Amino acid sequence: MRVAFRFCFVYFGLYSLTTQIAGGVLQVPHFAFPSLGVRWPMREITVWSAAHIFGVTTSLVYTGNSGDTAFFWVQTAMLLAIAVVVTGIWSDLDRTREDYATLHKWFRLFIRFGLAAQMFYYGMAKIIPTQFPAPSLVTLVEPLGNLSLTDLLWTSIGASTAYQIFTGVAELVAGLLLCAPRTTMLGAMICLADMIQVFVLNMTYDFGLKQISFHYILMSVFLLAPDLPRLANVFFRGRTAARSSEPPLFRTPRANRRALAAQLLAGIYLLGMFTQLSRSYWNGEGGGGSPKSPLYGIWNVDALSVDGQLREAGLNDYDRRWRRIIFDAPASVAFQRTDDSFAHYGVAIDVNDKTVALAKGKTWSAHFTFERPAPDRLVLDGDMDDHRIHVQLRLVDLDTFRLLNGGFRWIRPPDPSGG
Amino acid sequence: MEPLEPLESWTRATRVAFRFCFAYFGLYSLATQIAGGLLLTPRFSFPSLGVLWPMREITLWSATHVFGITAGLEYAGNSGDTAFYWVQTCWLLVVAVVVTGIWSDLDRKGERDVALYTWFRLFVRLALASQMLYYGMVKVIPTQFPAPSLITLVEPVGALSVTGLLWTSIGGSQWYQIFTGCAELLAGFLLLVPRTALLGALVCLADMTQVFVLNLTYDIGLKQFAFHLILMTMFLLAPDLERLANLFFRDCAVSAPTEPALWRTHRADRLALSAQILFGIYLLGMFTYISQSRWYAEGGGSPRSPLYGIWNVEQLSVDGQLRSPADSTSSDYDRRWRRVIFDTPGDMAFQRTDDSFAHYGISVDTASGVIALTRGTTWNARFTFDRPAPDRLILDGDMDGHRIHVRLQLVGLDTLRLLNSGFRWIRPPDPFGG
Repeated sequence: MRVAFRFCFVYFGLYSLTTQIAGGVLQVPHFAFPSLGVRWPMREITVWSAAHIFGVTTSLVYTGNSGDTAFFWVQTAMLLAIAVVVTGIWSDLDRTREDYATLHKWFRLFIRFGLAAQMFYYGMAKIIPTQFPAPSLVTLVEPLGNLSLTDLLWTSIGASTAYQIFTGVAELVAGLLLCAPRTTMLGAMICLADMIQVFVLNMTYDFGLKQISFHYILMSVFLLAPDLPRLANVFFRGRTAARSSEPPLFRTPRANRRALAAQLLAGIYLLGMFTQLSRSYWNGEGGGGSPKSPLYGIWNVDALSVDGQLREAGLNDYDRRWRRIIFDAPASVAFQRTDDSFAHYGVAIDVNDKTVALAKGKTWSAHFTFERPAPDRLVLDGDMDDHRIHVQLRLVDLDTFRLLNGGFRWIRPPDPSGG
Repeated sequence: MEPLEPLESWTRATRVAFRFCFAYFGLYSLATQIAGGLLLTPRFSFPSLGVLWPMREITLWSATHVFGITAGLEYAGNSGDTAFYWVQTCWLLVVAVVVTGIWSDLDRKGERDVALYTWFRLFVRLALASQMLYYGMVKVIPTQFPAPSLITLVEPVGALSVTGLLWTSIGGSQWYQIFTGCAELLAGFLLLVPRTALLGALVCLADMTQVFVLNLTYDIGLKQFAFHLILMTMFLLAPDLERLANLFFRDCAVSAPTEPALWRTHRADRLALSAQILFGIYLLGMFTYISQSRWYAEGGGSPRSPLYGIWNVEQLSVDGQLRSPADSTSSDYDRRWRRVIFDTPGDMAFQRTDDSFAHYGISVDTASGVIALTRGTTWNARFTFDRPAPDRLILDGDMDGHRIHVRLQLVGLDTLRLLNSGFRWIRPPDPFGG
């Protein structure tokens, strides 16, 4: 028992510091405590271990949307090794100690809030639906088979805002219950259920958060561990169960009342911080509240002439085989070719001068002028790759997409093509 | 063991509530697949009485005369939320209220309520277990959410309904489907044993809340049914709510459960326990058999077309006039093919250049190299086919009075990202993905 506690203390402590868990508890406006794992000296230790112990030299990426790159696996292995060594030394030095009641009490408080903060973070990122954005216009016209499995799930959750909010509420409830000592056990159980669902999704849809979601499961189990005999009595043995044996933080009832108030306030504060964070994501790039292109829409190519030659798009050179042009976010545009592939460009649109400037990389650029004779018509004229381009476009009515037309129906007819 | 008589403390309100639950859940189980889930044999299953005489006639009569609904009263197909089922739920509710009223008036003492409750609880517990085993097995043998069809793979995402998108995304990950099935099987197993029924009901509640919310938010046609499974779970949990509140909210000691035993003697109760477990194993076997049959009939184990694949149109000539596949306008709309798709043996589809599909029935004779397309009862078209290489196909024939010659090239399914992604321990950042 004592060895297990020492190990949990060292390992979860180290893991929290290297990842976003410690930073989740230490939130102030305009500043978040960083994940120490990607900074000096932990980063250097990880890179050194990767090269000298595991012989991994490539793809030690630690930025981007995957927490399961080789870098993070090496880091986890290294933390485990350190925790085992520290536990061994500590157990050797501290043989006489009866228990760690006080340390456990305070460490448990840290884990409770570490988990609660993560639940607030992920919960609010879904309640203000930013974690799974609604399908982009490019995705709407992409053949489903061209999506990765991850994208497919991402798109399907993004397509149902109400479901995303529900999953956020399930995480938020876990977080709220974890903030009060009395409801911690229920909170840890809901957190466990939520995180099993998330972990399995991460495993089965190849998300890059397999490790951290697994650690949330481990931490939930750590919180539940003291209560497991009571839970077994109620759920498996059909016996009576005693009261919780969790000791209060302080000796006097008055101090404990204050501690409770402080915990609830800390919970509300964290919730407020994460609400603010999600709101900024919502209004930021790619969020539902972010600005849209002035030419927003999916535009079908009605007529395309290259160097004065008007012909079927599919007969042009590959880079001019356009079937659709898609303006979604203000600064990017995509051309969909007749084989359904996309060419993406940066774009600057000047609505006063009616010019469209495409950019790719640092040097390449192309300039067009545009006319919008009717709201659903667009004509582009310009030069691109030394070709003179004239293209007439017609706006696709987004109502024609079944995906955007689906929604809740009390009375639902049978659907021959649906599930 | 002392005979337990905890239900003597039932208040009048509890009695009325129990009688209502008895009448309503009983009727609802008979009208739907719930009762049938307990009465299964390999060759016969007890039908859902709601779509048979006389319940069906009562529903149709109420729809017309009470609700004034005449259209949309379908009861076949993949929606349990058509107007028919809403009307049925309404009249079952009314009947249950009336029955409860008369019963409460005639039998004020309720001496038999305890015995009735004990056996009705057994029925609800096993009925829920059966539904969990059924829905669990159709996921563990992944047939509820089929893998994306070849047609779906080349369909633009926006052309799917939100239901279709969810269905496809779960079908895309066989392992996730199996996991969700295990979560339902777990609830089913725990519900079979009286001692673990409380945990089973909690797991069942979590599972069914997830399912019900998915039904609501993705417009799936089992909203009512999933909600009733939640209600029946709540019925099972009701006597333990006090204990659960003590455990989770009040930090009090939790008393032992007070469920009355089915029989008076220990021996009879032990036999009853064995009977329940055996019955559960029997149900599991039946549902495994049903799912397995479905897997071979229409699931991943079903036969495929001899010409299976997504075929890109390389060259198409209509009445001797050759056109490039890139040219999407030079022929009539019904011949603007960009792809030909053969998936199941009896169907095929042409995908047009605007991504829409034309579906036909098909029979392929590989020996004589003949394809016959059909649509409805009279329309048909005949082609001969030649497969000079595994990835090449040439079709020649007549269709709608046009002479057709089409050269096709097989699309390597490996080129589709969806079929290429799977589990990776080490996962690089993905610039496109979430």
